Amino acid sequence: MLRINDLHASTQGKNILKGINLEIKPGEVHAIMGPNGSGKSTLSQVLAGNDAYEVQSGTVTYKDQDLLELAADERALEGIFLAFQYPVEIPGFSNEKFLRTAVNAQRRHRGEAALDAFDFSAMAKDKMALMELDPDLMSRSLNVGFSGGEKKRNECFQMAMLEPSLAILDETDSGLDIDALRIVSQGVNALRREDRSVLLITHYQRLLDYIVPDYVHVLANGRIVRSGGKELAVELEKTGYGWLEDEAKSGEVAR
Amino acid sequence: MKTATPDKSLTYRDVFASGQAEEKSWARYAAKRESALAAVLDRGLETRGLEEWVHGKAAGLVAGDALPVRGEVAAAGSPEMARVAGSHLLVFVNGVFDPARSEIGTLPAGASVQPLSAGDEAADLGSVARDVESSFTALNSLFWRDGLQLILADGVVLEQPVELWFVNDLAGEAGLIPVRNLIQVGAGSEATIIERFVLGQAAVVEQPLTEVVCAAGSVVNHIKLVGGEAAGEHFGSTHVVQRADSTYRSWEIVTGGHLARRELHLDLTESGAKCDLNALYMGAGKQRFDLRTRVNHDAAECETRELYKGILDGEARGVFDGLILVARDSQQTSAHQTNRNLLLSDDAVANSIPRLEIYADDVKCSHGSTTGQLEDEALFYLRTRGFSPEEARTYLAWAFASEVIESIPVLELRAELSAVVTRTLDVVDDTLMGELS
Repeated sequence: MLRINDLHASTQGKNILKGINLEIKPGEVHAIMGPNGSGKSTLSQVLAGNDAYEVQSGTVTYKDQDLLELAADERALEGIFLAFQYPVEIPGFSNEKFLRTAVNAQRRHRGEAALDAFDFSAMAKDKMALMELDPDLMSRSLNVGFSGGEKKRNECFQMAMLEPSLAILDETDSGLDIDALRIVSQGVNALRREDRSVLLITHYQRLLDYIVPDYVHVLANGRIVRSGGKELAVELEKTGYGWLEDEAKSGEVAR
Repeated sequence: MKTATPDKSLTYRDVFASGQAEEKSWARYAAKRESALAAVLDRGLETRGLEEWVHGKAAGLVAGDALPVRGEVAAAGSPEMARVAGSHLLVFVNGVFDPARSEIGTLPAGASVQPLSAGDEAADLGSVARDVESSFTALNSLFWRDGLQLILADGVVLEQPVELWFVNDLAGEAGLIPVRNLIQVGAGSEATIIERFVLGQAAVVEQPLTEVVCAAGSVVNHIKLVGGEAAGEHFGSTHVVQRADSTYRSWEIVTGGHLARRELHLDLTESGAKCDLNALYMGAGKQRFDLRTRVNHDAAECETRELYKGILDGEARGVFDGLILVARDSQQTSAHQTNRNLLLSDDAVANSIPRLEIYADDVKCSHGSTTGQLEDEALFYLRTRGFSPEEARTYLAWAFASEVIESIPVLELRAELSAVVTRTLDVVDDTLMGELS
């Protein structure tokens, strides 16, 4: 699905990613954990194609294509979805109109007929129920006046509607109470399929109680310093991140 | 199409003297016109040194050659008109009422809708917009030929909107077209009024002035659309007085004219009055739009909410100059003023002067202003959802505009204006057009 090879990236003249290596196979759920400033969000932005980040070297292959050659919208149409840590508010653009346009852009790209308002709302209804979102939010402006939890659930609702091949969730759990965390996790778990992969970016182990990953990676100072199974997250919860950063500094790089 | 070239050697006094004799409608309101002439002659049409013109541009209005269009000017050509179905329609061509194209229709008891030139002389004309306060108001009082006279008795609900079309189709150097409207809405009554201005190709200077009296508990929705060719100039003003618990809502949508100025003056004179003022101005090329609001809170427990938005492309310039004045005894005032500008080119300019002057101590007031280009963050967000760069830009600009348009209470106008915005933003992609409309 996704193969990242020695990826270096910077933003505003500052090197953030310093040699990321990662492979995600179809159906796998990978979690990337790490302290603040380790480069977690940068990785998600680079994978989604944000022009504000510059890739200096390395390769990223997605479904046998050179991902770095594709613009952000092309990546989206090819099935990459980024759930934002801070979803953008757009006054005047209704959630319904926004999402219908996005879904139909995908369908057009795949050569399928556009959904009309009725088909769309039938499809949206079930998925909103899954994310326990108030149907009234559909007619409201995108993310405007949504609570923090509603914004995150709305991201997951969009993900469910767009049915990506690779879903990247950037700190979707941050700022969520336990109920919202359960709902978001339920949405992600419902999406798990053998041809769909998930990359969870999180600061806390808590999310991984609900969405059990196949692999856990620890990012520190722009590199993956340790990889393991789900038990690595539990270990991190006990020990914190301090010792890992020391390892990174001493040059001991995992994988 | 007719050409009416004013004789520039004439003075206002000469024009007025001959007009009183020749123009049927000018003879009406003779006393008010006499005093208006005195006011114009006394003060002159000077903008220099006047606070209300510091950021504005008067161009044709003060050029000295802005003599009123006279004579038979109603044209034969029929403008393409998509009226609101069922509206009480009055059409004015080059400032003159056109009965053939108008269709006032059936009115409920207690409602009177007619051209100002035909109605009984209204004592209130000139009571809201006072000649002594502005020589431009006096100029309008002096030379208006026609306009709307809408009078609702107490407790009358007008279900259908009153729709006014002001069509200018003169050619050449055409002169001044003053229009005067008087709207009096009785206690507990409700009305929706749409003023549409369609500028033609001539360099006309249209100067519509509307006075609105909102009696206690009344509700008035007032929509003003300035469109058409970017050749003429538009100087429109609305003067409103609001009594207790009345609601006045305004939408000003300006896309036409090479120079357009809209002024909105409100006096909230009794407690519980509420006003909700919205505007969208979209300019390109060298268009210049001045939007000005003055709201006087002269009573307690009144509310003002303002949302003025500009989208400026090319070398267009937009000015928002808004003042909310809260008098000393106007406690528990709520006043919020917002101006947002979206610049689509490096050469477009937005000036924003939001102001609050507060003399009461127990009030909730705020004002804010933003000017900028589309945000990279929002563009990126849309692109991660599969929108191309062009689509993302268009949708964001459209969304920016639609916040104002979607609040208009006449559904047909929303669809019509949405299409105008889409066209203005150069949306050529049919698929996109389909999604937006």
